[in-house]
Amino acid sequence: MATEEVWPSDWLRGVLAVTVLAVLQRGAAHGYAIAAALSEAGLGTVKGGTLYPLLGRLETAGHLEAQWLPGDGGPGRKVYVLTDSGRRHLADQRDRWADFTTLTTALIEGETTGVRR
Amino acid sequence: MTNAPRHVTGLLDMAPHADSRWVEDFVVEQRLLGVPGAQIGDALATVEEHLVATGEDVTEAFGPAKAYARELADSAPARPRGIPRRVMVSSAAGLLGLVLLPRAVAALLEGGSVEVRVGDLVALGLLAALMWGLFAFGTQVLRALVGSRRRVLLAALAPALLVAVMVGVFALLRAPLVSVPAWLVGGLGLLATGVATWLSAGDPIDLVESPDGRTLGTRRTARWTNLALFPVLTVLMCVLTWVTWASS
Repeated sequence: MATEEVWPSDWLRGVLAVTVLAVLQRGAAHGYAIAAALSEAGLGTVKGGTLYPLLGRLETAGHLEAQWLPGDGGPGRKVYVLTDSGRRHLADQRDRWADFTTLTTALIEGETTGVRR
Repeated sequence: MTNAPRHVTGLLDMAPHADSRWVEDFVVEQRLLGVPGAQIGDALATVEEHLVATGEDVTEAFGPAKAYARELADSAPARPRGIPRRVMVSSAAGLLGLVLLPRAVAALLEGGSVEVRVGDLVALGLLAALMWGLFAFGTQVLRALVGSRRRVLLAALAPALLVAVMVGVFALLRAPLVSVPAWLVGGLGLLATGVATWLSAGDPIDLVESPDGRTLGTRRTARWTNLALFPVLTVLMCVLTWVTWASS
């Protein structure tokens, strides 16, 4: 994955989709604004070659919609908006991610109890 | 975004901040993967928007063009693969007209009928096999051609080789099989060319189109080129037949 090595790329691969949906829950955003928000959150730089195919997959799945806003002398800017399906998916993924991190943290720290779903 | 559709003459006009080779490789790979022109234009506009906003180099931001093209194609909705049946039938009919009509013209000029020889059937079989191969393995053939360093040479040599093989077949296998009236061969040729043209008229024109309606080339030119290809080639072959007859 084309990100600076702030976090192992395997970890980011698993969590990038839900973090993008979380950024879009704040409001509609352009691709590079999404990348900037992820970077500001401390996830490192997500390159266009990783971000736009992911946005395409989320759009194909119906979790977000994209539309072009007018610009001067060109197509303008492509803005991504979270759909109702995307909101439901985000809520589900957020709950599951919380359980997953609780479970893995307990496992890594040597605790014997974890979350069972 | 402007409403008036315009056209551009080069791919780089779709993403002027990107490297021209990168854009070319990206578009060729997306075309080979069967991505529609509007989606390619959308992707190029996204690349351009991103490069303008970030000031990054296109390879630094998106990686190698072919890999990005494949990844983006995988993320898009499923689309039909291969060459549409309509295009196959249209091409086969057009080719048949291209073979039959000059033979009919030659026979009419000579005042006789069309002698069908062994070479004709062998040539027809070879053409059918070639067309089947192109349709069955069209993407692989195109990919091999595009990927070759000698693609210009190959593109020039392939038709010349085909013509040489056909001439050899016609010249060596001259045993007559049956005699067919010239008007019947001409009628069949006209019918085949007509079917090809009629089917071509319904072909969708899939130009690379940016979200603001700019297209690479014009729809009008693309439609007329598509429509006129076989009729013009057939007329040229008929004229060539007449010139050869007149000068002999």
